[in-house]
Amino acid sequence: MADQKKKIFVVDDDKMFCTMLSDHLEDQGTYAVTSFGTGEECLERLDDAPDAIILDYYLDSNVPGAKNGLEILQIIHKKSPDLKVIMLSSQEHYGIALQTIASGAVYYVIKDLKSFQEIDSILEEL
Amino acid sequence: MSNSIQTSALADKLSQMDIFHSIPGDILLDLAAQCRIEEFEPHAVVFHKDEPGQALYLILEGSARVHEGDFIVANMKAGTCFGEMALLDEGPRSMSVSVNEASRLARIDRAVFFEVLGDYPGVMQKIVGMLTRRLRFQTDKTLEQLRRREEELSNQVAARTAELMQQKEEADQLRVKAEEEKKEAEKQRLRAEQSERAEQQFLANMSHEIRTPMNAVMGMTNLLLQKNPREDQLRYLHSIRQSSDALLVILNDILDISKIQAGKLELEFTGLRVDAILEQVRTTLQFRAEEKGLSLDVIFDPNIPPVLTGDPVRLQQVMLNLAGNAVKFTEKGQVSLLARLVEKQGDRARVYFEVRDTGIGMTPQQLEVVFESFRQASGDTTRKYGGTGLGLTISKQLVEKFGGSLEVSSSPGDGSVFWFEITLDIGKESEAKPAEPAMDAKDALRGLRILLAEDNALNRIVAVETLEMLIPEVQVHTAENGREALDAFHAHTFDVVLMDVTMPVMDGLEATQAIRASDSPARDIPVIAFTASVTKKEVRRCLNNGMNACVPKPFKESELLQALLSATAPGQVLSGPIVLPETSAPEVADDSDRLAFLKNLTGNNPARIQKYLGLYLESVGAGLPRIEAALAAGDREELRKVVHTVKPQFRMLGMEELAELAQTIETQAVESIDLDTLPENVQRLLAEIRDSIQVFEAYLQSAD
Repeated sequence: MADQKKKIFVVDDDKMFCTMLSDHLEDQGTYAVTSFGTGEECLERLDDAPDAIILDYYLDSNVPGAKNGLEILQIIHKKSPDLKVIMLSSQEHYGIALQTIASGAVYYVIKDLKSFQEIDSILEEL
Repeated sequence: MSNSIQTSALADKLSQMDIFHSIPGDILLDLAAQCRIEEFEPHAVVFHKDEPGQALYLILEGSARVHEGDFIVANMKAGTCFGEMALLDEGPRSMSVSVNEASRLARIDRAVFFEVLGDYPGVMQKIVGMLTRRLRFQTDKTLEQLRRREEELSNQVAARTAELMQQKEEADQLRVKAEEEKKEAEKQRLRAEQSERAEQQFLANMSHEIRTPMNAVMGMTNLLLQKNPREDQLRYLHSIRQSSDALLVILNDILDISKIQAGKLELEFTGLRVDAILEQVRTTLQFRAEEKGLSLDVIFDPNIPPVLTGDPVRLQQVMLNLAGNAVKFTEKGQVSLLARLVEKQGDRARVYFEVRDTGIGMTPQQLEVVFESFRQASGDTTRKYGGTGLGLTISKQLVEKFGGSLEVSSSPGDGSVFWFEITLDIGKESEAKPAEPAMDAKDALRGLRILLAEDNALNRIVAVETLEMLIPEVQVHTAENGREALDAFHAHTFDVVLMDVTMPVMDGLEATQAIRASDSPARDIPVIAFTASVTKKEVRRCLNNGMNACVPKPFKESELLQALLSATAPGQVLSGPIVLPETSAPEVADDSDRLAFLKNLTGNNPARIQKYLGLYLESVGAGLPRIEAALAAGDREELRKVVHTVKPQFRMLGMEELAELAQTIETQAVESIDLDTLPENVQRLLAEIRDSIQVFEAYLQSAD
């Protein structure tokens, strides 16, 4: 049964969002969620073959010099082109949305409470 | 006798055979005595497995053909007989033996043969050894054949397998390719959808951002026009006004179309007067029509019930757009607006609307695309007549929202007719909005004492001067935030308060609550809210906080007057130009109750609430001193960074206003705009954060 759970990585240096989203996904009982505070940590675990990665754009608030989400996305995309990456960001950057989509993200989700429902439906579609 | 001669001759012959070599003569004689000589026809010597049974044959001359199961002891020199092999049950089925002309064999009983030779182990050994060698050779040969056969087979299998593998691989490749293509197509579709969504969001945001400065431009232009400008200045001001009017139309079009595309456009249902709408459209376009020498006629069917229920603003928008186009594209002749009752069924009425012109008309090709976004009859048309090309698309969608369908018929040179039919509920006379205030209504407001609270300096000037221009002897006292407004309220006497909702230090909602809760005899003073967004939710929020009416920003003079009139008319129920929500509106969750939101979100799970509050305190608590330090040091970059980090925490715990405040600060810090209000905003943010920390810590302590 445990094997049938979809493996989801959540990468966000915003602990609160990361925790709430992980809780929210775990609550549904169909996802096994692993969360990371930086993109680098997530890259080390790519071999675990997650079904999807939910990746924040800003990742350097706690660890200065940490790679931002776009760089991480590009590395992921190069390594595993088929891996589904959902990008997260706050809403004010229109250009970033386009950039992440152009770099292979499957979705771009604006971070707020409504994004949980959005992520739910995206994950169901994948 | 002859028999013994024969026997000795036979013994002699046997002694020449390899296997009998070195066997004593008497034994050979004994053996030969047991033998019976048989002769076979050449080429016809057949030893059959089933026939001789126990017999053994010694081939004396020539050669023989034998079958498996026979035991042949052959003279090897006699030819190519492999008779020994016939001993084997599993041996070859037949032997090819060339038979000479004189093929003679000695036949002997097998039991006798072994009995005679039984005393000579050497002989038996020799025979057995020979048989074994033959057997091994044959076995090797068979094995070799089997091996070869097997190899052949396995080669065949391998070849066939390879062939199949290749076919499978090719099929796989095709399948993978098809899948990849499908994936790629899907990816592109998602990407397109994403960019489309981002684009719509961008358009909506941008349009909204442009409206605010537009308000200042338009308001100030109007003000300058009232101040007896020189003739050249007047020309410039008219140009500015025309350009900004045009810009506002475009902006509204873009907002509308993005709303429609996002499926967010909804009609309001309120009292609607068809005659008033047509009249309003005529008033708006009259001047333009007269300028072009066109006659503008309104034909109104008096059978139409005076008041219907629908969205008057949107219906007027459709009629104004159609009639505006008609005026725009008609060089001479006339434009007519018509409304006719089609039928009345119970409490519903079906009304036919039509806009007809004698303009340039359209070709069938143009008619096909007339309702598509961003299209006009041709590129030339845009250059000649201007416009966004969105008007008809919006009108068509609006009419569909009303449950009708916008139709057109036209041919080049003969003008165009646009029409639609919609069914509306018949309303009561009292539901219709009051007519536009008459000019002499301004006198009713003469000497009005107004308290105006507005934080944006430009908007404040626009509001003050507009009020001074509209109302004779008006007295306007201004305040820059809710706190100042509250102080002024206690220090002076006013007839009405105009209150911006979003302000630093103390917002309009809080100030209004403070007024209502005060001991002042004037605590029931009418308060009219200025709001940038007039969504139902926002209006309800204002009313729930004790305000009497809402006026949208940028405001129209008529709307402002109407609101003031309604608010100050003695003994009249207050109502603003914006539809008041139903009085029994369900109580929305109070945004200020921070824990209520979290309780609701977690399904009142204490462990979760504590965990999230802990995270909030950790992150926002750490941010607090950094914000304070950044403010003290005037380090805007640091300020932006920290505020950006804490902002999501507000949003996630349902503190939307705080999140918006944080966003404002971030924008101010990064774009260096409105820097004079930045410190105030930061102070307000800090106060809110401290308050939230206090509330949350108290909760956590009580939970322990």
